[in-house]
Amino acid sequence: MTGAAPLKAQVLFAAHRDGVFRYLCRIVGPTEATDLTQEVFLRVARSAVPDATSDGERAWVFRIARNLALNYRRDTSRRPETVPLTDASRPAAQESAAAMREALDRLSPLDRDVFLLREVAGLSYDEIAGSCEISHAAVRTRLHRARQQLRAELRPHMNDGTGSVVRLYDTR
Amino acid sequence: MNQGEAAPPLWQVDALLDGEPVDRRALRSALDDAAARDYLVDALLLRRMSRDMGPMRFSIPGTPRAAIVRRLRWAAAGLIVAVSAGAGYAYGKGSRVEASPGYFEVVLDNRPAPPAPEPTRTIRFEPGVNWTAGDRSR
Repeated sequence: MTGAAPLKAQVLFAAHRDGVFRYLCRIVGPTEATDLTQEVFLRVARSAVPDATSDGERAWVFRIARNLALNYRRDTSRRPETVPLTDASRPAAQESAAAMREALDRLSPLDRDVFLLREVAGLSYDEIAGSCEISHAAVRTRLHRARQQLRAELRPHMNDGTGSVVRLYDTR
Repeated sequence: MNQGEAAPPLWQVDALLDGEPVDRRALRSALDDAAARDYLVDALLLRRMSRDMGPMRFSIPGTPRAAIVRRLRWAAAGLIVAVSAGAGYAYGKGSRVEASPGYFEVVLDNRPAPPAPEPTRTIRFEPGVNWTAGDRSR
């Protein structure tokens, strides 16, 4: 590793930690996402950052995140699943978040990743293509398919009136 | 619509949603269709739902600012104790009293005792004097 690599890793951490965390959080949950986000940037710091544009660097960081998430999901799928014992009614926001999580789980892993990388991490089609190692056209097709499937599965939650306000650009 | 097959008019809506280049005529034509407008609104709602299902910012739990300050204070206190103990040890080592050999030596001092001091008032004892009456100062 060159001397500039740790500095570069810090820059990448500052720029992409929230996006990486958001993406991982929706796949593995917030607690594991915190650990995995740190693991992503440990790997970034230990690796030689590729000479690429900032878009290419972002795709590279998210490729590491995606691989770690896939490994995590593969490892945890072998463990028994825990089920909460309480059957209390949940608020509508929690209901809709749980429904979204379940619907995302029913997508194919690649469709789910394409959707999340676009919607919560904010990657462009080219960056998603770089992260998932697929073509630009495949990104467009998979993203559209994921939206259609989610839309069909979540229609009851979309029409319950809780999410009546939408915005084209979310600046959070 | 078949789910595996994306309808081209909706691709224009996808491109608009995702900040990708869009052909304005194709987009206008797509948005003339009510189904495409519904798709646009639903996709925005999906975006919102996907963002609302978890936190948006990375933070490491358990290490807020107060905890870091607390740790620094403990570290500073530990450092002060260590420095004090080290300084005390160094000082004590420098001014150490030689250890006693472990036996006693008795020394007899044969020099004459110094003379008793002269009395400041002399009381003379005389037989027959009544000490309980009159002036006792004599």
